Amino acid sequence: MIRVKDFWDYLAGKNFIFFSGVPCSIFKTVLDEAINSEIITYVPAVREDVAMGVSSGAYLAGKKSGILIQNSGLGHIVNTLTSFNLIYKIPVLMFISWRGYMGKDAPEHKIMGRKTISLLSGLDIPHRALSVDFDKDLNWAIGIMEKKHIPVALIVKEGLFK
Amino acid sequence: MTTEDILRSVLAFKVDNAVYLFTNGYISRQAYGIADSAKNFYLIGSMGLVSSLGLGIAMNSKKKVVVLDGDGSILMNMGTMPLIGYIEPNNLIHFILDNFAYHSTGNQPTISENIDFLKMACACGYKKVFRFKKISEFKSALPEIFNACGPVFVHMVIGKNDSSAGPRVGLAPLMLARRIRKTIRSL
Repeated sequence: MIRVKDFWDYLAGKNFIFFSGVPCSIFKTVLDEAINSEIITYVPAVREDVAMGVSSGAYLAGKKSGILIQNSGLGHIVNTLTSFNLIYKIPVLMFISWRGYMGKDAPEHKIMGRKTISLLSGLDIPHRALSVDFDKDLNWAIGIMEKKHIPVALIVKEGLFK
Repeated sequence: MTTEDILRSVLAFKVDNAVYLFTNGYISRQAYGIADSAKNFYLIGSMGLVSSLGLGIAMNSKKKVVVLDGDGSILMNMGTMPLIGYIEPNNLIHFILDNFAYHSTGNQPTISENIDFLKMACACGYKKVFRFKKISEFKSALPEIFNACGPVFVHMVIGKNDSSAGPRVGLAPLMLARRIRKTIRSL
């Protein structure tokens, strides 16, 4: 499991200190740490596309930024990705929870649980599951963002964070 | 009063450290046609996004961030208004250019004619709110609008006889993003 303090310290070390999002229980401890942090700014967005907008604005103002959302809200950022971030080349680091993984979840999460990866693939968003070796995954994501200037997704399964 | 009148007035009012964000459709196109500048950022799509983009910029820079939003666009993503009120960026000015219509898709009516945006802005926590129906009154209030401590909300009631399309934005989205980033860094 990943200690949330290590996770945020690593991101802050890479100058990623501006985040927005819509909560997911998978991120509970991650968000608690961010909300109480003096280093990380976390904007509680009203919907996932607003989180993308706010974090994209931060990027335009010269910051490195990201979002944390539940995969059920992935649909809300499809238009934001296709008609904004991907064509204006606005890289935002996206942490997307994976409710419905392997079909073991509440009914409302089962379809998106099956479709999360294929949706991201269909949109040509580079993605991988976040692992306990989170530093390697973050470096991979940040590397692509710096090279291609597009959003990259890290998918977060239940139980990864302490 | 038309969108063109308003954009001409806003862009002619000189402010040292401002950036201007335009929502998609005719607002972007007319602004591009009237006075393109490195301080301008146009959305060519992603309707409803301009207010949250403006918020993200305002939170991370000391520049005056001027958001030129439309009635259809703010209605699509009205949740941004209480978020702006909650965050309280004092450098954000949020204009709604309200022509009661989705103009660029053929002037289909929005539902804005029956909505009191000013009451909403107050309820959402904007610090200063204005409404104008006459361009002369708007022009004389520009110093007050730009000097007010934000977030400022300005409802521009245009009505149904609005100005027509400007040219399509002739710069690639990637170049628009690079340009505004450079402008924000250098202001």
